[in-house]
Amino acid sequence: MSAGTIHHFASLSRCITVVGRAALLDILDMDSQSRTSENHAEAVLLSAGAPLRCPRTMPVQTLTDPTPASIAGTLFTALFALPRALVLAPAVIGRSRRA
Amino acid sequence: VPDTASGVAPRRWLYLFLVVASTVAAVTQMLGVLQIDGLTIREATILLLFAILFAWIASSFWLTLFGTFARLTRAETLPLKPPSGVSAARTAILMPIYNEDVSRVFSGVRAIWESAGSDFDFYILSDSTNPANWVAEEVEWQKLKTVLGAANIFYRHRIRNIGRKAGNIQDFCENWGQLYDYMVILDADSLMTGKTLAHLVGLMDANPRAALIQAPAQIVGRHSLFARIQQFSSSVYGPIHTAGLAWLQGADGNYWGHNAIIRVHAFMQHCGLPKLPGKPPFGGEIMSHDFVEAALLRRAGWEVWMAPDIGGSFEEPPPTISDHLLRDRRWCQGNLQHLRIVFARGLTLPSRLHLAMGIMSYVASPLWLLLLIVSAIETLNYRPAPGANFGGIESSLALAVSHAAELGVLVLATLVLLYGPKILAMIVLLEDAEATRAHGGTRAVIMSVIFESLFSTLFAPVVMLQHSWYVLSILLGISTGWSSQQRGDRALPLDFVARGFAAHTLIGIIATVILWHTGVFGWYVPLLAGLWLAIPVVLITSSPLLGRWTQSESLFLTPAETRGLKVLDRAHALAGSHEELSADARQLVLDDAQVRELHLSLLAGTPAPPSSDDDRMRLWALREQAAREGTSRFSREDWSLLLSDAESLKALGAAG
Repeated sequence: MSAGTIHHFASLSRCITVVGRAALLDILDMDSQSRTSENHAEAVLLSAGAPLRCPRTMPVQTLTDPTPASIAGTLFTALFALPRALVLAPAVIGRSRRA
Repeated sequence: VPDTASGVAPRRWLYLFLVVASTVAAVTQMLGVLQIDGLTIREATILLLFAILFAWIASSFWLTLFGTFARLTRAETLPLKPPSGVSAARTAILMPIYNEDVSRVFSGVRAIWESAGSDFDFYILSDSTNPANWVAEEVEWQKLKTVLGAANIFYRHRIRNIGRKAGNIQDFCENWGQLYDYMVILDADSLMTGKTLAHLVGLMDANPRAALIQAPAQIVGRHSLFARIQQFSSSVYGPIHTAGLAWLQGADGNYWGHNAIIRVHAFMQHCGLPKLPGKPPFGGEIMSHDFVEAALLRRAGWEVWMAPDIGGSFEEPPPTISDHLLRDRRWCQGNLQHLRIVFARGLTLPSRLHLAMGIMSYVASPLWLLLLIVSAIETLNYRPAPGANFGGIESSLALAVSHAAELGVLVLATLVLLYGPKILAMIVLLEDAEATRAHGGTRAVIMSVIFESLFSTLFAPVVMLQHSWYVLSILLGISTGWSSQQRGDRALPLDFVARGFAAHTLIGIIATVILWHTGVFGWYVPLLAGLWLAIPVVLITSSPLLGRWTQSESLFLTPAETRGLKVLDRAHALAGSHEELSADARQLVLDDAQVRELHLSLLAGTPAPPSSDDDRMRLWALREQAAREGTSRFSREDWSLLLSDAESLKALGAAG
């Protein structure tokens, strides 16, 4: 990238360019892997029992109660899923790994 | 990247075929015995129960046979990309605790810290409800940090234990999870070596689709006879079992609640557990959360692996049969609760199988008991068909003689399924000269397997009755609480054992009286013997003295005993030299300014639960009472309330 492009003005770049928006989204979506270079948390607050809290809620998963229909449906699906899962799983996993 | 599951599908098909084929063969044989003069409802019930139970033990047998094959052929049971280079990941080691022995907890943490170094952050996540434990934990934490000069050992106490252990972990994730890439979950009696921890982190780094790797924990470190037998079983039989599991499940693994590394991001995104509608035992908080969390990770497409050969992962067994069964009550309720989850939408078939097998591990007992009862009733009511002619031989005798061969085959097959895995495990062990020496040599291994088999034969009917009662009580809606586990060695007193196991003995005697005059009494003797001897067996096996004696006689030896285990020995040495607090830990908060300051500083970092008007009134009364007559009449709840309120503690401290 040559000097003097919009990308040298970070705030502006994040608002108006595809690359900038992607960088912004990256920050928003940042997971723990992205913070490996940050300072160790214990440096933040040595006197407390634990580092400063960094709250983020865990979404509650759905585990619907079984009904007779859902049980029948699950068994029926499993009947078909079993051969597929058993035979195709290695191929699917292998392919996704290669990808 | 190695093709991680290329062999899994054929192996699973073969496994399924072997389980089904052996069950069909046995059921056909049984049908031949039962349907001489048609099949009555009782006989049909026997056949159905027999089929279910035979399939159950056959599944276990074939699993261990697969494990044996994997071990002997040195098959790759963890086909993951190996770690490469130094990891930049941040990993937290979590030890959730609940009213545990404080010295044991902090000795364990220190032993692991010394082994793992400063590469990890340690979190002691306390849910302790006992105020004395709470304060003692704080003091021990401060001491440990000072002694080690370690800034990376943290302590957090929750005043309200929402969600029990799963809620404790969730609380960590929601507050500090974002700071970490991985977390290693430990139990209060878990130990892991630094090498294993580093290896697990490396595996997670190298395999970004893996959300969880379970390091099967070998049980070690206790000295009662029961614990030593369990430790020997874990050391000898465990490897082929875990190898079989890992070889068959591939990336569809399971989570056993601790001694596992977890990708925090995946866990946070997919393992927020719901509260099941309705009341306990089937509703409410999910008790056995581990299986469900593994199922949720698989549902989201993440991989869950087991690393059977990783080593360096340990836990301690319950010291007595009584403690073992007490723990089973909680697990039983948790696993039966999975009846509401096993059909949940979107779970993968292997996850459903994990859940179903967890349920079956407890439901098998009442089914077995039912089979025995129906078989006994059938025996007592058996009348040979009138006028049956067997060439002049008395009919019932002829009947017995004519089916001895089929019954013999069935009994033999059952014995092979039950004891075969032990023999296979022994063969695998004896193949390895080094491992054999570490278990005391060939003779010691053979003798130990024989005695262990005898013990497990006597123990099985006791477990059957106990589990049957658990299942029945849970079906009746009786829920269990959340009690802390007894982890230290102790010989049980006779009156305690007699009270706990009198019912088993009585049932054994009544069954003996009923079956005494039948021709089949002899078949029931191995089962009845376990019940007759329940009290002495529980009593004797709880003895640490007998445990040590069997050790001196080279029985039930494990490598941890013969070779030593650095991290375990260190934890024991630290616990042995641990100095208890000189005074009541709770009172120290009021009397000792340093302890109070520490408690208040930790309390400041804890979100205060909403206090009700009643609580505020009660606190005021407690402050008055403490100032007037001291705290000698404070109840546990009074202390908990007082220790949770910084303002009251400051006021009392200033007054003191």
